[in-house]
Amino acid sequence: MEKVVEVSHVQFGYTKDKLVFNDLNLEVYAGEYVCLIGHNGSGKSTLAKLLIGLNEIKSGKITIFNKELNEQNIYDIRKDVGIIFQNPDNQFIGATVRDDIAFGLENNCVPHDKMEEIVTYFARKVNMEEFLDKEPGNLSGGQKQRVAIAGTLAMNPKLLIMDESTSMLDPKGKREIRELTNELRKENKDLTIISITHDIEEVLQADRVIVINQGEVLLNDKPEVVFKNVETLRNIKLDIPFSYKLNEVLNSLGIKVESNDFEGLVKELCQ
Amino acid sequence: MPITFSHLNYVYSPKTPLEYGALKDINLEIKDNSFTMLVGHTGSGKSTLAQQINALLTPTSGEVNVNGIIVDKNVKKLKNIKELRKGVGLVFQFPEYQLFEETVLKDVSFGPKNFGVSNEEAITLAKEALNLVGISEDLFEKSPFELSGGQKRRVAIAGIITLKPKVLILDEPTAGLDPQGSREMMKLFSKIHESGTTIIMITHDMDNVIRYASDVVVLSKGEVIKTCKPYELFLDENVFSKLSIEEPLVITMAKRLNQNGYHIALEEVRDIDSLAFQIQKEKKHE
Repeated sequence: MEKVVEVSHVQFGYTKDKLVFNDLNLEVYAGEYVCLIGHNGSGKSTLAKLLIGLNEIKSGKITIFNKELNEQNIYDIRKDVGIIFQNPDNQFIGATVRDDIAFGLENNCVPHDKMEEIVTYFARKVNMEEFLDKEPGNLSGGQKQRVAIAGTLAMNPKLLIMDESTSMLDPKGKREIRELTNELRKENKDLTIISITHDIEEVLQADRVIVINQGEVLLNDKPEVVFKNVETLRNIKLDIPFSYKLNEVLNSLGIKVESNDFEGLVKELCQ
Repeated sequence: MPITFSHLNYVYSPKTPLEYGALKDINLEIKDNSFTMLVGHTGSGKSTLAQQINALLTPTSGEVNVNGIIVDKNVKKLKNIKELRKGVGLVFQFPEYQLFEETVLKDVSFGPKNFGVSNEEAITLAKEALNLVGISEDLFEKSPFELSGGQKRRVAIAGIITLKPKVLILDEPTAGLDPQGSREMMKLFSKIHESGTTIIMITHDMDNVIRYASDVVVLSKGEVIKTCKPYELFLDENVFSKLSIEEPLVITMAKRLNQNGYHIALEEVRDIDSLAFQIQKEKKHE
């Protein structure tokens, strides 16, 4: 499989005497949906910033789409990478939803007709077509993030980084973005998604989970394997998905269940 | 004494093109010592309603009666508005943005000093409040801006509870916190509630609603459309899906099991432990 991201022996710190990463190594492959989890201060968001070159690494190497991330390549690489940030209010530029989605295209000098077409297409995709002439400020959090996603998708990225992009949304907003992510993946099998998240139910849908703790990769596997490490995750103050917790509590009460998923538990309990 | 709203209307920017009726004919009683949660869409009027209680916003018509103090459109003339605000603490969303003092202790003691408490006593009250919210003494002399996000929020909340308000209003107090931070914050409010404070909380988190709320008020488009016990929110699918409320997974699980022959009382299901306990009870009956 084609490697999209390769982080090797990366060292980074915001200040001279305190390192966030000492020797970070990880890989992400084409078409993968990878969730990065870790408690506050573990280095997750720092990693997102390093991947788009907002901060410079001290040593080691980051390779994206087979190009080393450096001053010469950075603008080239960013053409293929989209990022959605945490706070929906901090990423609006346009006066209307339409202008906002078009912003990146304008910068790339896309002809006006073509731009109209792309904007409408992606607004429809994120289910915001009827809001095209509305002011972004008056939208709900979930709607704002969907607009931000449309603006990013309009640039046709091959790698989409979501940096806690649902953490300020209400549960409905979270679900909307989760569903949208799933749809995007179905439609475009080549799209690679790296999602930094606290939403443990989202993590269950990922192809792979990378648990970061104190700047190091602690666990790196499929969700069902990672969540078997209940004690490890608790020790680093991470949440466990509902069905895993219920399984644990039921077994501790002497009700023997094997399943770690919702439907499986229903089935077992109703036998 | 309970908080009673009667025929309360609130209009933003009246007599301008931006005129907007945010609250319409609100009649509501919030029980003394309750843990009442306000739920509803963004823009449904939750925050506007909460701000009437300490007269930050005052009714366009109608009134709210708080501990015998009546807030209506003439409230500006009211002398005991200070008395009202002493009794009703309001914590805004992202309260950590409001920290401003040089040290944690100074920030927290600012409130009581403002209400005329002596410096010495204000510091004693501040220390008590910081102790309650779990901020350790070695942080007292630090700048509040050096603290972590969760700590900052605790300090901001301490600033409000120094005056030991009888009613504490919290506007989405767990928004933006990680799951661990959010759980700890809820435990703190539960502790404050148990010490005899009425808590009114605005939230989108239904897990917290069924776990902690004694009563729920549902707002939609500026109107109170339902007041009920937490589990009652999820009895009628039409109601909660229309309100874009997410059903907690413990309730979904209990319902699924009930469809398959279980008899779990939904009001007993407040978290995973109580759900598991109910399942165990059913299993014993078999």
